[in-house]
Amino acid sequence: MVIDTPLSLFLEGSNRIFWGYLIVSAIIAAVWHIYNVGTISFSKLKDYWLNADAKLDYRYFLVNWLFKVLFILPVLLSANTVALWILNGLNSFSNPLFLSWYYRDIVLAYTLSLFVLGDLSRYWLHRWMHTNRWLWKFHQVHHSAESLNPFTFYRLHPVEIILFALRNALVAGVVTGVFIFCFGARLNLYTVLGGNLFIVILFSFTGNLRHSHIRLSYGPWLERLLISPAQHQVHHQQENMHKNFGSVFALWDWFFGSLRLSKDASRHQQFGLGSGKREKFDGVIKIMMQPFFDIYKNFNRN
Amino acid sequence: MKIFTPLSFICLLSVPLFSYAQEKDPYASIYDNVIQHNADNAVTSCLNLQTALSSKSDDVRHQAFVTLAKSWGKVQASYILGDYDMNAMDYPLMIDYFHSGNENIHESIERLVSRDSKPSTALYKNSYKTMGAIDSVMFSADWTERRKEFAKVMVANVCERFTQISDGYKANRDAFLFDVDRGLSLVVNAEIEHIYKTRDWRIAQVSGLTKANLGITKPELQQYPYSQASWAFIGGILETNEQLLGEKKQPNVATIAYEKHGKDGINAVQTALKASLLAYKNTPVDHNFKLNEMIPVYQGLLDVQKAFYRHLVSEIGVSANLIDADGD
Repeated sequence: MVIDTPLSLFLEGSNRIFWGYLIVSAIIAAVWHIYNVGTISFSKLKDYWLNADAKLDYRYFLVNWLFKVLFILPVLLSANTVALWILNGLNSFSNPLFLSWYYRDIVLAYTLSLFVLGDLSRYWLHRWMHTNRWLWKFHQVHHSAESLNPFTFYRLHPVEIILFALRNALVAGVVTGVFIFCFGARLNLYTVLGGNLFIVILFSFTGNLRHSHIRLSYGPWLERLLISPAQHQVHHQQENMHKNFGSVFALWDWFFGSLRLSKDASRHQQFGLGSGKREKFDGVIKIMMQPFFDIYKNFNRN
Repeated sequence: MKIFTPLSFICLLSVPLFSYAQEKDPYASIYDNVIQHNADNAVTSCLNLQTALSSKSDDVRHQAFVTLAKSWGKVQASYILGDYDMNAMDYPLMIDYFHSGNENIHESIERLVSRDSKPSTALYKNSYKTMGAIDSVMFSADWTERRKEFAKVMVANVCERFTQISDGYKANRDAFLFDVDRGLSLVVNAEIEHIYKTRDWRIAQVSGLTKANLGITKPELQQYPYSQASWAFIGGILETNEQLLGEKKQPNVATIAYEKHGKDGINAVQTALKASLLAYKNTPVDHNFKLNEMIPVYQGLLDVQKAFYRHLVSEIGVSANLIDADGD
């Protein structure tokens, strides 16, 4: 992931807020709003895009970017390093397999494996962030937003950023190492707009609506397969925070008992941690420090 | 009519320009100057061996076989035809049965030679008409008329396969250039696969450098034990890699790597390859795969493989293309 300036995040199709995905999301949102609510007023738009939560998200987006550039990319374990570890480890006790699959089958299998295992690992780490009381202190930061917009995606504590970057390095590295061991150099990734084919098709065009107030449902049947924007908004409701941990696939939630269809959840849009909690996370410094204070307090209490 | 003069002049000037542009395309250059060129050379070497079978000179016949072994190594190091034509997947096996099956080809050939059946009937199995069988029939005993008749059938079979490979490459040039990413990954894969097999099968297992046979040299396990042409085959493998990666041989795989990913990763591969080539050239002629003589080449090839893997992993760029690695 090469990030030169925060602006590049809008220009590369491998990022969630790529301009193409934002435009498609905006069109879907406009159509949905006109159909379900009525005309869009300027004052409502202003209230939505310039409220206190939104402004904090814009500021924190820059902090998130800076943290990744300064600490994650140069310092943290990379997927390439993990891939080489795996490859060397496998080569040390077995000969490379050089399986003679067709090139297109190998590329398809590699693209699919990265996508499926990546999504599964996101599900479990996200679930762990909620169920482990120490990790929850950090993940609270993300759930502190009471108004959701696409930039809320970047409202993550640095500890969570590190954990997700490690997850990515491990999964992508292991998959790549195993594939090179099995198939040698005949490896490539099917991409669209620079992103993994499956993620772009199944996720990217509605991904930005997950953190929004556009309650776009996929219907009860498809919501057992793919997480809809409405289902992720349900996850941001206080009473449903232990539901819908998935990113792309709802299958994981279905298999592991954490699925909540959007039709089964309340339609209210009161997000966040509850009354009085937002103030603990209403600034960049507070977002960075509050989890550590909470952990310190917990230690003392114990 | 006046217009024709400047027009013809421009056309005349543009001809070398076009051909220069084509040569500059590294993908076309890899295909034409390495893959196709080596396949054509192998056909020529094979036809030369066919002619040499009639020679009364042992040296002429031996040299012709050694040259063919080297040409075959050069073809196999970048063999990708099987990925474009299903029928061509088995051509390498039809040319050389080395490290395939448990049958002792030498014993079988000697048994067949000692009988009086016609060579074309006796050599009913494909494995009896491969490079290993030629090595056995031509160099494991004194040259006789009966051995010559056997060799003729075997060499004809091998030449037919090399011709099929050469023709197959001609037919699939457009397919290679249509999807150059695929083509490049197939070439690099062939390089890595045969560097590994050369190191492990053709050097380590013979000279006693594997865990299983550490310190026990077994020259009889080499690819062509009777003609001693195995070393030439290994040279062929290394030469193709030099064609594909060498600084002076560009445009080639290294040119593409420079353009796409900079010089760092591929330079490590080139350095390791240079060391392997140097070790190969510095190995004494009478080495007979003695352990100590083989260590530098073995180590060089191991370094090439590791550097290739490092380059490959960074080239794939596994950390990218995941649409944000963050959580939700």
